Amino acid sequence: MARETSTKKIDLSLEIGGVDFANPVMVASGTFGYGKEYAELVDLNRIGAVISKTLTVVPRDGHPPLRTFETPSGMLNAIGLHNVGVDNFIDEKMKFLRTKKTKVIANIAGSTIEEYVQVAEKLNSAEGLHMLEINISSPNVKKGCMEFGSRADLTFECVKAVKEVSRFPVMPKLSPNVTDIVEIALACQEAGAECISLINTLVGMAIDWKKKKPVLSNITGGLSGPAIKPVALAMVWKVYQKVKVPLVGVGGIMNTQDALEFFMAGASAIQVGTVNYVDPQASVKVVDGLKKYCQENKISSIKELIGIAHQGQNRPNGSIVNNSQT
Amino acid sequence: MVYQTPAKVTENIRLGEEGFKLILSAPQIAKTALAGHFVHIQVNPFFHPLLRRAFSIHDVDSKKGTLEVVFKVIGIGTEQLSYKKKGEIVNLLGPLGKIFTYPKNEDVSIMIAGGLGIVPVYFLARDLLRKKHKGKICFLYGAKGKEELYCMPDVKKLKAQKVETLYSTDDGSYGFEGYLDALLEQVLKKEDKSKVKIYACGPEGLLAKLSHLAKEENLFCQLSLEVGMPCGMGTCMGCVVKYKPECNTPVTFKRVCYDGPVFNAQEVILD
Repeated sequence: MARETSTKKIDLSLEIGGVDFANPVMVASGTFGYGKEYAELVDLNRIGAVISKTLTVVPRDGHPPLRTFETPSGMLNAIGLHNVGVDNFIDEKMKFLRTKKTKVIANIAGSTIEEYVQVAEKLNSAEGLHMLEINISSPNVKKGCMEFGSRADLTFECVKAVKEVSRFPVMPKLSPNVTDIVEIALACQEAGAECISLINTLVGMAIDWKKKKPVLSNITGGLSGPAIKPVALAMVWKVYQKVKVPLVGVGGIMNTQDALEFFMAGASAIQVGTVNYVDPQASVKVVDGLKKYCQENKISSIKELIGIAHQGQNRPNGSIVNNSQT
Repeated sequence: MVYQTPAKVTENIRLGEEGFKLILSAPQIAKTALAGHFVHIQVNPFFHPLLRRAFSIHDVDSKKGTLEVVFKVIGIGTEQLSYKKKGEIVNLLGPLGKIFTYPKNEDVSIMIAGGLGIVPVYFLARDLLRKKHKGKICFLYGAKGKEELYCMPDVKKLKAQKVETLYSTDDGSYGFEGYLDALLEQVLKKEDKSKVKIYACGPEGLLAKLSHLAKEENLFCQLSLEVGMPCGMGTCMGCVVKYKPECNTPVTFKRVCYDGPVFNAQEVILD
């Protein structure tokens, strides 16, 4: 009985931008389709949020094959934003998603800021949607995305433009392929973003030495998977020291231990991505694992862990972090 | 229904220098799998290799609850699988993908099995025989050389069940000397093409030739395509093939794992 009582007390819920998430575990954009694909294998009601594949104004066919390639502890992808388009998402995909308890986040992109605005405006009519994730970080398209996310002024402009037209809170997703990610994060905060997710994939490539040419049709792709976890963690750590809005950590999280590291570095929530391909139930396993960790360590809320690894550390400006930022 | 399930290795049979047949206990998948379906295997729980490996199902024994996959060691995933001993566990997702369109009794089925491409078409022949299919089946099995005809004992079993079996090897070490498409041409000469249904799997070059042939001669031909698949369930959009169902439609991309792996040969573009 005592054990049951302690389980009940554990609170994984969190609120970001007025949205109440049942738990801080989300499935990353592009790794979970539009939710329905995995519904036979995973109880979507148990995931904090499902983030859609990136949506654009009109459907896109993406890049020719080959689009993906496995590398040591990671994989490269250059899909090229292959998606059903925002209208189909609202009319078809949302029908299924809004029957579930999970919160729904639409990931959006465009070749121009006007296109981001158009997608955001259309999504205002989506019943059952809770938040927008702004893709300013995909490295696989010629125009838009990382083009905006690699410059603080364009990031500000893009986030502000979406913010102005959208009825939803926004979460820009940052690229690691920048000189100073803190500068980009600050631009997001200034533009009014309710939270920030980081990181998207790292630019990489592979060469087919037998054919003497690049493996991917797009030449370069985005590296994801456990190989990038240390990079993602360091970026969450750095951004947390300077930015006040909640952070959503993403990059190579495979299990509960990985997720805990991100909370301790300063993330308020996390996204699991590539691991969904290998174990579609990875997200709910992390939810269960976090509960178990809290129970075993007598922690009533996961919020107690956010940024805890910063305590006692010297900040770059010489001050010492005393309190966790929640 | 797709299942995610641990599966015990019941047997790991060496088929030659680098060929293996793994028999796995997975009753739910064995009961529901049809020809063309594949399983996505997580070789170990340590994410090394990171991704699952896709294997067409070679055969099932629904009473024993087992299924067979056949593979050649080509990388880290298949190498680790080749070491699996009886009683070890792998994790399966399956059955996945779209299946072959089974022929009718009045059809003449020609199965074309290039190397390890034998796997899905062998399952089709086996399943048809189990279902007391009465139509003619002609089974063409080819490889580089005799030693790579890993599944010859299985094909001999088909012959015992009145399936016409023909072999080809690139080096002429067994059966017809040359490629399978040349052997197919000979077989087609004897058949009424309007009744012929071709089912094929094998190397890219062979499938590209068959796709051209199907378009030129308006043949019924289904191909099971093989490509690296990160998710296997249609979510990652990573395993696409060029798709053009009509002359006047633009080229789009279809997911091999979800819209296939079986495609109408006239509707795909294989370079």
